[in-house]
Amino acid sequence: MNAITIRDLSVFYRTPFGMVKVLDGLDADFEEGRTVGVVGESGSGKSTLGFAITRLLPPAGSAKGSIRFYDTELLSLPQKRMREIRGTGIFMVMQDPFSSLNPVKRVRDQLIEALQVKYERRGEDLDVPRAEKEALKRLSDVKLPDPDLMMLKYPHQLSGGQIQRVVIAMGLLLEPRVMIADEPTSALDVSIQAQVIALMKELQQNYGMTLIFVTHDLAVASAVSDRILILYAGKMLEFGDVEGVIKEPLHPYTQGLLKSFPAGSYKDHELYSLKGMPPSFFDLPPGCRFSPRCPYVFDRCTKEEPRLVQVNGRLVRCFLYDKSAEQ
Amino acid sequence: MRSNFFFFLVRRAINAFVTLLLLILLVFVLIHVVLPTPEAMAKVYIGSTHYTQSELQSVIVRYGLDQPIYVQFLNYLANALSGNFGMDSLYKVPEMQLLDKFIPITLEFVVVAIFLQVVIGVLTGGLAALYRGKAVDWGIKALYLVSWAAPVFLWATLLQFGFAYDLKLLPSMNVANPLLTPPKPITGYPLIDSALEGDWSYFDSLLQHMVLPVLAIAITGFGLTTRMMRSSSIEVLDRDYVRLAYMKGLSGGKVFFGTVFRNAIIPIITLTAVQFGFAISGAVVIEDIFLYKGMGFFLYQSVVNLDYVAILTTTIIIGISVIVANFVADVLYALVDPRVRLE
Amino acid sequence: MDIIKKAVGFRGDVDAAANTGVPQNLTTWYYMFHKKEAVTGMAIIVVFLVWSALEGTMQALAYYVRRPNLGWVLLPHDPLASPNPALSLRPPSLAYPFGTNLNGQDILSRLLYAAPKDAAAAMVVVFSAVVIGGLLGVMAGYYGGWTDEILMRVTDAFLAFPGLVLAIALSMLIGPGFDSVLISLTIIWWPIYARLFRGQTLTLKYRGFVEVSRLFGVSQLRVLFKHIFMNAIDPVLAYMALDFGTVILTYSTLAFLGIGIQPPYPEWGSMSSDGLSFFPSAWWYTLFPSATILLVVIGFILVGDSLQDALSGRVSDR
Repeated sequence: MNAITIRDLSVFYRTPFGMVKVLDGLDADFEEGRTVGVVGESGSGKSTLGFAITRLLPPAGSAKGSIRFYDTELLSLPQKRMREIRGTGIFMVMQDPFSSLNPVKRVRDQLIEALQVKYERRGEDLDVPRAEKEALKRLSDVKLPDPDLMMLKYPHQLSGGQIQRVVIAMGLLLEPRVMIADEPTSALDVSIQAQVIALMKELQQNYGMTLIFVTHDLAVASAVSDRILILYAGKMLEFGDVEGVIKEPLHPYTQGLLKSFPAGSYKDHELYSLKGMPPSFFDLPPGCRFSPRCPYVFDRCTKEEPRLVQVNGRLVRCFLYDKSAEQ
Repeated sequence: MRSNFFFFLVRRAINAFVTLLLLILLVFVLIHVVLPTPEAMAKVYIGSTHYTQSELQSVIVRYGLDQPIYVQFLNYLANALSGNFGMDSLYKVPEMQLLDKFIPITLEFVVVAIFLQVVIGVLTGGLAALYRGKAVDWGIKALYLVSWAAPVFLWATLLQFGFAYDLKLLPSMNVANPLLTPPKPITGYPLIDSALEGDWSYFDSLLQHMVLPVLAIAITGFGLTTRMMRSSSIEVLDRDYVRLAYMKGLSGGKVFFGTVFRNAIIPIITLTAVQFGFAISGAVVIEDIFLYKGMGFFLYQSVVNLDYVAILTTTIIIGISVIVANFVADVLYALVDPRVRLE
Repeated sequence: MDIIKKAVGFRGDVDAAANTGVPQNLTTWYYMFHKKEAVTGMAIIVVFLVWSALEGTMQALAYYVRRPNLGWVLLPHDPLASPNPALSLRPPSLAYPFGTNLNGQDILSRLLYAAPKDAAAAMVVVFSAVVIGGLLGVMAGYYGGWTDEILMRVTDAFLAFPGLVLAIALSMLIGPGFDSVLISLTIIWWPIYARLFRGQTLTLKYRGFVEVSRLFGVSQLRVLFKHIFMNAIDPVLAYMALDFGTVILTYSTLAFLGIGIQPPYPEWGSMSSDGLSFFPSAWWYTLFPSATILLVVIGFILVGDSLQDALSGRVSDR
């Protein structure tokens, strides 16, 4: 059973230089109760994916294709119905902590607002003391010190990591069926990272929550996810079980990402880094988008774009595996 | 948290007071730069072109114009702070006595005008932001472009011609119908006084006479507020925390009033204090056109009559009212935006 | 397009739009030249400024060479012609496209003749205000402490004077001519820029590249000017564009009150207000001067608005 099914999703942005396609014909399945780590560099379109699913793209953005939340097609849904799905159906933790919370309201008020939505949808009345207790519990769950003091604070009094955790707590309070987390741990210490990740996994187990974990950090993604989706310049390059992707990466990009980790066995070698930069969406290279940086590049790569093919139960987009006839 | 707010208020009050002192100093310096000698000052005090040397000297002695500058300044300051601004050069009565009549007139209609202006500006700005890029947005922009780009005197006169002379819907000048008796000056503010007395015909007349001047200020002024509200709202609408509000599953109305509005309106508060200053500037012209006898009218007449003391005092009083308006804005700002008071 | 795609912004702030890696100042230029309202606004302003420069030079030349008619050689008629009752208050015609005023003088010529004054007033006042206010504001923001506090109080004191009021009061003391108006306006105008620059400086201070350049041993002054001032000026530019229009409006209003250029020299504001006495019968007398003021000010507002939209990066979304 797929919580989210994406077919042929393309997201466009209107810019003064013309229309830009940030996600290009993406197909992906997100199984219920499992975690998919969406891994990509900045500018790969990974945040856009989250906004597209929740239908909160900025005014200049537009989405085409199909995004199904269980049985419901989201992209054609009227606003009112979409609103009912947000919060307890799908929730997203956004990337930038400093603009995530309302600056003029206290933490407590913002958390209670979320609880209000949850209770309303369950047909229960909001019991303020009970709500406060629940909020306090979640705040301590995310390992925030002095939760009772935290409740009274304003966002500008909190550090990035603290805000991040408050938003995660908010998500936990809503008990959504799908949680999209965009770099939720980037502002956190490693030890707290681990605790927050453990918390999310706990929620998964207790409620069967589907987690879409968006990050640039393949290591963190591998610790959290059941499957990994590699996103590059708006296209999916590899998708499969975490074990397979990490131990035997198929796509040269994935291999590059893994090689970049300073692991013990590379102590005597120089640190590897992928040469070059991801392309601008205005200046996409012809053929395969990764070709300019690929160590295995050959002629066909610069002429056509490879299609997704199945290899050992995984999906890869690379001419090393796509042996179809040349166009 | 409470005590922080209190300290904030105190700090702001001190600031306002210091600014006030500096204001008076400024005016004082300005005067002395332009009229460097006691004789020059005395000449202006006398207010006419015929005088004898002995008259000049006696003026100098009487007003202490030959004393060292800092002494003069301190004397003036001490007097000013106790409400004594000296004798009017022309009418030979205490200055404040004259101004007491004019200040409330101007303040009443300017405050109403500012209120109207803010309401129009916030509504149009918010609408323009919500429907940005669509016809409503362009329409509002066209509206405020024309209203803002026209000088104050143009609007005032056109309104006067249109509504007063041609359509005869509203009175064309004065503060109230001169045939009616004004109410007893309990507070000195005509609207309040006539309401207190139950003199509704006078109250009505006051309102009628106020419409056009208020409209003139509101029309020329709302453009800036609209623009700021629009850009502030757009900025807020793009913010992640608005997305978060939607993300929680809140409805559009709740998101707008709970989140967007409260954040977008913050810069408007400071702007309105600035607008208050512009409004008073505009009042000078408007009071002239409508023969609306308030501070602006008095100021202009004083310039024409070369009534030195009046000009000086009116300028300071106007400055004080702007400082007070700024102080009020500061307080409101702190009430709305917690980031400010918890510095 | 290629140049834009490959170039790196000369101010180095590649903080750009829509993750496209395009530097902001180039997006700004592009926006300004492609958005309808920006282009319209700029067209109006360019016409206004170019004409003012041209005519202004002619007038200056006329003054120095002592040949007054050089000042109106480019104009259809003599703007300062002696009163001619026969031509008084004629409606627009081929010979007199905007009609004539009470003295029989051609309104179009007078408008064109008066243009350089408004342009000059706007330029002088705003640029002086930016320089004075900018330097003071940057210093206050940079050094902080008492310098800052004192400057802020002084600025507040100046700001407490509504512009018109101070100009009127000053005119009484200095005299009502053009020069005194410029002085009064400059005195009134700089405080807002001090505030703006100070605010920007404070934000920039915390952005870190001040520290970085200090680490490199760049001299204090260079830091102040090159890094802070040049970066602080971005949002101020939008305000400046608007301000040119505001100065022109204030200047016209002062003319209405009789302060500034004195008759018989034409000035848009006084022409407009004189014409009001003959409205609506001689409608052209007030319509054309008022429309001119409106047009030019709208031009500046359009440019200011567009600059603001462009510079705040709101043009492109994340």
